[in-house]
Amino acid sequence: MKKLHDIDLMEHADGEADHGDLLRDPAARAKVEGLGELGELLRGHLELSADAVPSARFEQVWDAVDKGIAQPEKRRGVWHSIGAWFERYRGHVITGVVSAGAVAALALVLRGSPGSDGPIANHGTGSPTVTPVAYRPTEIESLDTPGGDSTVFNLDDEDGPATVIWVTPADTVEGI
Amino acid sequence: MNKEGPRASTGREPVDDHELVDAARKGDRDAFRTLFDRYHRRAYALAFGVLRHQDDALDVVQDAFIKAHKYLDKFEGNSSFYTWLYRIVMNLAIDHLRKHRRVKPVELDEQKLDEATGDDALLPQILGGNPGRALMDKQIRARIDQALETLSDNHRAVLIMRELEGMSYEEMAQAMGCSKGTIMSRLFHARKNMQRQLVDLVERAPANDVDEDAAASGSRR
Repeated sequence: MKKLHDIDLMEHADGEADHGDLLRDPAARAKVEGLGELGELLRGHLELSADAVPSARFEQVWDAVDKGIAQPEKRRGVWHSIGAWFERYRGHVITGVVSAGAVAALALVLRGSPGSDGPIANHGTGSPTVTPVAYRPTEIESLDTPGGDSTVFNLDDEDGPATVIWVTPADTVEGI
Repeated sequence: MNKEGPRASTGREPVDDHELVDAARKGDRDAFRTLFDRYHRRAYALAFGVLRHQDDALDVVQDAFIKAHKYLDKFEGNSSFYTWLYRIVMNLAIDHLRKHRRVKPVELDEQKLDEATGDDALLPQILGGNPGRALMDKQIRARIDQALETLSDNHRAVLIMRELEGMSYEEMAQAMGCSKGTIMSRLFHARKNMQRQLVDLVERAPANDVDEDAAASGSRR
């Protein structure tokens, strides 16, 4: 049979292990009772020590606690309110942000390649320059004109882009 | 520890701790005051048992309630409010020991557990099974104070956690950041040393210098 020691008795007394068979021995039983006695002595002593502190002293402690819990509330202010609102509506906010992002991404895809006439151009040094996006009419490169010839001029000057279409009928004699 | 604060005796129906916590979360200062009234002395007994210094213990109680209020949102209600509070008190008391006290260089728990397993390590009853009566004796209480003082901080903390709050070995191990075996060893040595220092009180158990308050409190137990 395994030899049990006082530490096993202590485990049993504390309810951490079951060594009930030990208690058949009167000496072991007396030791367990001794542990209980010591515990009761300490509990009683500490509770009496707590009772001996004047209530006024605890009132001072409460005053300090009261101040301690009031200050953070004052400091919180607007940011705390925003934080609390976000905490409360976190799900809605995240859903909204994701939805907006998806819509923006879709819009970018549908708009076509961003390299053709993107609004931001970087000229190498300094800050990026934002170029306003101007309206550009549809560019005509050629024109079929039955019964004649046509010439298309695309002009781009300080007044903006312009297209000139020159049509020459087939029966027209040049110079007349 | 039956004294209640002024707000606890206003004639209102007793309110459940969880309701008070809910109200305090919503900013009800009176609800938190009621929680303070209910538990400040118990929290103090725990802190005082570990720290052995009234002002330090009161500081810990103050900090514990402020911290409890700050983290009320994190109190899930799976355990009682006091169980949650005493963990805060215990952690603060242990932190206080670490920060402000010198650590005694050699502690008995550094010895191997096997050394504590001598057959005569623990003592049988020393107070004739009547500790309440022994507590009426001021000199016996002074001796208990002295005996607690001689324990190392770690031994005393474990003893108080176990005897005052009934914490399990596992809970104490978590609170103190050590193994369950170390807790067992500390507890064993703390108890053994306390018994050794109090053994000569056996003959004194009948009170001859009775503290009136203690007599009243002793009769409650």
